[in-house]
Amino acid sequence: MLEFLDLALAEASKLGAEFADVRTVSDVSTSIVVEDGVASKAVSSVESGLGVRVLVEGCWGYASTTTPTRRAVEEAVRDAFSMAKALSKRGGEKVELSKVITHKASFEVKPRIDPIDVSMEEKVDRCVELEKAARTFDSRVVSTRLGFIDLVRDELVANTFGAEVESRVVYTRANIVVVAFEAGVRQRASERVGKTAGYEVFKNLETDVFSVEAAKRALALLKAGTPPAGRFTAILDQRMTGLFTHEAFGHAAEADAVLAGASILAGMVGKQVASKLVTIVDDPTIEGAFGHIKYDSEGVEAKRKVLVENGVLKGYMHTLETSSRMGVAPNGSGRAQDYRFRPIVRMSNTFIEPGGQTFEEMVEDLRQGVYMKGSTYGHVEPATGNFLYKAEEGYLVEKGEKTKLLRDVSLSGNIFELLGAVDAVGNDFTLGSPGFCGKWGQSVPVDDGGPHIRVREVLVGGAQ
Amino acid sequence: MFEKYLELALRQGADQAEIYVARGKSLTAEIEKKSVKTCSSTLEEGAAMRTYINGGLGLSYTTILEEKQLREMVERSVSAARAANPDPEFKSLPEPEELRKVPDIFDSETANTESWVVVDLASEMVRAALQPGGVESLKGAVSVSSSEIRVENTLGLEASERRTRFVAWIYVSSKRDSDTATFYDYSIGVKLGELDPVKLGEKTAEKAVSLLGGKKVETMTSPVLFEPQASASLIGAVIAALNADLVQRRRSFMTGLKGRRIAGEALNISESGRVEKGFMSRSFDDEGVPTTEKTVLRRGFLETYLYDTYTANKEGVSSTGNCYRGSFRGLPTISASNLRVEPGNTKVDSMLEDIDRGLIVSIISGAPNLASGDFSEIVRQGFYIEKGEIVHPIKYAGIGFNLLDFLSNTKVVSKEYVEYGGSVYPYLLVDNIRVAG
Repeated sequence: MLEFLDLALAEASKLGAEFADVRTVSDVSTSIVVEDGVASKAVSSVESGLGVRVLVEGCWGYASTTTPTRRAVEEAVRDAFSMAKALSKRGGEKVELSKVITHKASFEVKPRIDPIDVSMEEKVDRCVELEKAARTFDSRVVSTRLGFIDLVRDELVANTFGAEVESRVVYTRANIVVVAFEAGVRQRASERVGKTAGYEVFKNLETDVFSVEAAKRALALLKAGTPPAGRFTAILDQRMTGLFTHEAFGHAAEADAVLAGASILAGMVGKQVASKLVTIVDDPTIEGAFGHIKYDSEGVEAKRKVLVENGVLKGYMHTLETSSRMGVAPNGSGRAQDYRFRPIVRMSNTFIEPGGQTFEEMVEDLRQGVYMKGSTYGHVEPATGNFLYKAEEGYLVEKGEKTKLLRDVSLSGNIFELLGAVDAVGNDFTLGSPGFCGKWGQSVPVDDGGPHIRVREVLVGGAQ
Repeated sequence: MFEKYLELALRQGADQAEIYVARGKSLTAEIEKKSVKTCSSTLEEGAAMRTYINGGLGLSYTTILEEKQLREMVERSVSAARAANPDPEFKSLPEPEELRKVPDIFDSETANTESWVVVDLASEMVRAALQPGGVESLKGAVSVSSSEIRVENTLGLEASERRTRFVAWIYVSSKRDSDTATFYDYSIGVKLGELDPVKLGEKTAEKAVSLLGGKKVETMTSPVLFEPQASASLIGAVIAALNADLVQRRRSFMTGLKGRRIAGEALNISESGRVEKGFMSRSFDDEGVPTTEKTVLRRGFLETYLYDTYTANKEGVSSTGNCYRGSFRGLPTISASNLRVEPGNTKVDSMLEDIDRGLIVSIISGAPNLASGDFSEIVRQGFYIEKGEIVHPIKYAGIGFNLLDFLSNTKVVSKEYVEYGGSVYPYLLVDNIRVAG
């Protein structure tokens, strides 16, 4: 597909586009599923395609194709052009772009063990070994499922501003779900690992921190109680902190949501949006992290962004378009799932910066509260800032001690209310929720995290 | 057509093989804030090959349907099957059966839609949605797609079909002073000509405005009236738990409940891949098995789970034709097609009259835990009711229940219903819901 890049750009210019960019993506991937002891499904695939975006009279058109011929590529360019034209004729909103030229650049994740060099047999055996450790841990484990994927992605981005960025990124990810059953109660727990790195991630994974950890948690939840409902002070572990930072805050700090009037953070730059203890960062430059990129899908260098500093909102995440509309510099947050999709504003690795307290200190001076661990589900409305998150497990905190184990603990409220109520930030930072974030039908690899944080008087609830 | 690749798979050592080929084109106009923002098209084709060796499954796909790439796909698939663990539970791919066409699942006008048509429809939806005062911003899309699906396997099965679909959705944010509210709705179908963008835009916007002025509610245990969109989410979750694979692996709260009474008498639910003009309709499922129409819940009794060939063989029953692939990229799974919750005889007005103190819930956006059936959600689109009258919209209220309790506490099903692309959802009145203020 590479040979069609220049052709597509030339065709777009010839038709009269103000701007055009082209991306080619080639993927080589493996995925394996082990269920209840059998790795009976193995997938090995290659895929490639090309996407072209054109700006005509201020309006966007986008087309993609999997057909690697000169004719198909020219047709895609003409399709994109005529769609933009149709939009422009019908009074679509006019767009301008920040002119940022990366020129020629390249970027490569160099795996210690290239997944392409590892046989399917070896990967399957390793999957089975890790799944077995969870399945055979206790007779009350009734079901286990391990999913493994690796992906080697070669991408080339070029645009009529003169940018040309070549990249190769390697992703490795696995997750395990364990279901335990006893006396009519069924509970599940999960663990995951994911890096922009090679097969070494999976090869060196310890069963104790992955398989056995998930099994132990599912078993413990069988005996857990239901949480109290009402307002409590809550301590959030790193994963809950990360989920909240990504879902409730991060999506609202995406400039396209702000411009669309769909973000509670609109017009808040320079204002206090959180407790002074809170600093929030989106950082794609962390090597190895699942959300690591060096250049975004528009060919712009991906930068570390301090979104909130000591409680004050500093700015948003941007594409070439949103940065131009807001009159700021782009920061490399335009990402697309693959060649089929146009770049939109996305997060990378999003977290709260560590503070000075230990977890023990946070628990010690808490008379009554709830400790929430592990994220299972989150939902937020960026327009209103209202959210609901469910933790995988929780504990009551009574008189400075962690006591009864709880299940189905949920946390809900409004983002400003929660961020403003943070009264302690831990020193125990981790990034540890590698996953795929969905937005507008596209999904991209991201990570999130932070330290333990404590929040005063928030709404805690449960399933029953 | 692809016979030689199936034969190649057998020659390389596969016990059985199947090729799934999809060619598709889609067009989408996206709405952002107050106008149509982008128009995009996708043209894609792909072939996936499933091969089995001693029950172990290998899958590989390619987006280039040329001799060389297809041969490589076969090789990768067979070597993946060889690497996979043997699975004694695998009996066979499906045998060929006679296929009866489902009428009206392909519309050539929809398939040949030009880009300006989706742009116009999206623009009309925007204009309609901006009519009511107080609408602050919109998000949404109108998209149309056509696809040709082909399935062939080494047992001689051969099936192919063309289908078209449209999806229109709109998310409206409304604002008055510092108060904001949101509402969301959608329309799906087979013929783009049947989309009414004005009605969808207008109704959704009116609802978003009517939800302004929301107040908190007190903690209570009360009846809840679920509107059709909320019913669709909850019933959808209940049906998702009937996936035979989840049940057989004891990962579903529906495990062991077949034949048992799990819901109130009022609930009758059927599932069908054969509804005329149904969004999810198709003559055969994604491994070539004829689709069926079946009763899932009859007067509260659970009659069947949903099967593909693998899970059906495991239990010695017939596939219900529910094998599903999102695209050629993924492993096949099990999924419901069109659902019909049989409407009852009671009018919504009289259901409301019977509520002394309770809620109307318009949208459910959360996902329940299918292993336990537990579900909790913060409702932001709904109303507080006293003595049969709407008192005010809800700012937010937490609701929580187990889906089995939801089913057994569903007491009344309304006469009125909403149709989403061949699926039918009435209002459901459910007792004893715990509401947290």
